[in-house]
Amino acid sequence: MYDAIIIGSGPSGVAAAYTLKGKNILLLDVGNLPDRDINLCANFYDTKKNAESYFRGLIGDNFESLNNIDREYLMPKVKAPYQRYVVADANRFGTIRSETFNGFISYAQGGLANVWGAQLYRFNDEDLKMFPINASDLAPYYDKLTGLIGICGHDDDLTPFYGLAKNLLPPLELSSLGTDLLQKYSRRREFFREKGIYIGKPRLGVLSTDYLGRKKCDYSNLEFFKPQIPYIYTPSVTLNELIAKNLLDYKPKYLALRYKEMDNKIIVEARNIDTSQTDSFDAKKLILAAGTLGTAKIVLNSNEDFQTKLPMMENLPSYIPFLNFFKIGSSQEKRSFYTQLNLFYKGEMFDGLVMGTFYTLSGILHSDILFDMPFSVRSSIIASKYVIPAIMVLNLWYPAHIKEDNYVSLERSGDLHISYRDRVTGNVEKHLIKAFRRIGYFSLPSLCKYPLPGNSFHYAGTLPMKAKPSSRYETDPYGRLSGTSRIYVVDGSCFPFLPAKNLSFTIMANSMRIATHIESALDKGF
Amino acid sequence: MDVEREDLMREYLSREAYYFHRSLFKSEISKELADKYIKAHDFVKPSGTDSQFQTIRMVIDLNLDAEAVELALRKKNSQHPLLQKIKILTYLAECNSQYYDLFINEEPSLFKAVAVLTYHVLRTAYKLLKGNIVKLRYGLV
Repeated sequence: MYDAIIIGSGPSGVAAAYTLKGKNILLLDVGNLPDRDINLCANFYDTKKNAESYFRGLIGDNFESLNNIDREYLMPKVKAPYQRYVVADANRFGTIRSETFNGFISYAQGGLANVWGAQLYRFNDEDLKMFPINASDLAPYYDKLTGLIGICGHDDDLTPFYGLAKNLLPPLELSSLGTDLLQKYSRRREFFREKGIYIGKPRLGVLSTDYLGRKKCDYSNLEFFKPQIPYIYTPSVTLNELIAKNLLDYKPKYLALRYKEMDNKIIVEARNIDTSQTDSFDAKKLILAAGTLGTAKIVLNSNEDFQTKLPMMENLPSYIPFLNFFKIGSSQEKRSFYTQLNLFYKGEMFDGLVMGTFYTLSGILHSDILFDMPFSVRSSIIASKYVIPAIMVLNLWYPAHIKEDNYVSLERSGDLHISYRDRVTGNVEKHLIKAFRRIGYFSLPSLCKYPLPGNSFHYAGTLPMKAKPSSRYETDPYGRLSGTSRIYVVDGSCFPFLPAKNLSFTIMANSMRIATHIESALDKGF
Repeated sequence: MDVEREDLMREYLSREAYYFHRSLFKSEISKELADKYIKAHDFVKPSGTDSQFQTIRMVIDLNLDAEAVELALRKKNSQHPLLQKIKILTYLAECNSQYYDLFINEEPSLFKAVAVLTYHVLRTAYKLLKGNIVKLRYGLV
């Protein structure tokens, strides 16, 4: 019998496995992997210059890059041919049925984090005010993860939101557009503060210097097309180290279906996806880390509950393109990293803190955006050549509360049904457009994009953590599912509130915190 | 019968590729790119009503300005199959080294860029006007 079974190899599963590495641990995972034969040049623009040789990587054998022409929208990073393994099998094990939510469950090794932006932020007490824990409970685990991952960033105007830049690597180099924006913001800092706008450099799990045997960022602009780039931390980095050192029993090709709690153990049933045979595994503890939607499905299925509507939260996203007129006609910067700056908005346009990230458009296909330009097609192609080097896109994320209208339920067919009614009003976008005009960055409300909920991949709240759980679908402060003694939830499911800040780092820290508690219980023989 | 239909379809898609390419890129399409355009239709299935597909046929048969018609139709329907087909061609062209200079700017020049953009603003206005006239005249949907 295992000490613990972990289901899922995303950020939370790997953080738990890392914490419990001295124990007898089984990690069950479907574990889809990227193509081993990655054929791309050392730089995105060299790849495009020799595009015939790299058709498979740019467009794909099955024309994957053309996905958004006739199918549901996929973000550029997910639709790229070599990145498609992240959402592969999405419909094989039950689909997500929804007209109001375009979401995904990832069956890849490392989960949706394979396509994350690696933005890693500490939650402060304000972010955690609806949690039954506080920032000091998470602090030691944030520190430990900072050392494990290698996070870059520094102290600036965003330090009050992020905390001090302790043990961070130097920040990444900015592009000329990022540098220009930051300089102009710095000169008008008081104006922006009056508007409730704060800008600074992001804190990224991307290496600005060589670190623990991994090479630093090479600014190749290939992040949208090349999977598992070593300078971007993903959970697979740690998972593969644990596997190599034989510190856990990793069983890929297993889809966890349900669990059953007995007096002295927990039994997990999982299907081998190659043989379709269902196998059982026993353990003292079960750690659910299959991602917010995956974990909800396992819990509801284990309870044979096809009625309950579990709450669901997502960081609703929006996109604002900003054009800097003075940069029109600049040559395409070929050496850059797409994430540039972060923004926080705190003011009367929205009740709560809104977070944003400025991206350059280097590293993506112009075809992904040129049909949004207000020109005819040929004119768009030619205009994009001169305009794209002058555009930064601000991606905003909104916080989310648990609301009755936003829920997920399980159907007898195995499909998940999601209803998500929240929408972005556009007021913050209008406010920001007006403010940035002052420093020469122009946009129009009509150019803003509001994708269907689900596209942020920041899902949470299906089994919320409470000081005193009152229903069987709530968890206690140590992630233990109410009414059970051996089942723990460590992924985003247990968040009772979703701040606008990217949740991944806190998912990992919280998972470590809960795993430490489990380790201590195992040591005491519980 | 199926083989015959497939050949007809390939021939028709080839005609589309040549026509749209001339309209957008003002040159003859290479056989390699045309073949990719045809193959792309095995994976990407532009969808629309019969009358929308009839519009595509009319554009090609009557030698209408595909770019102008697309622009006139786009506002009402951003998923028109004409646009979907033009998108297929644009993606494929972008991922072809011959078109690299058309998409990527390597020589900085604000003056040239402003001149080019001004021209294309005016050109778009002209294409929109032309597209709407053609749309009305031929009853395109």
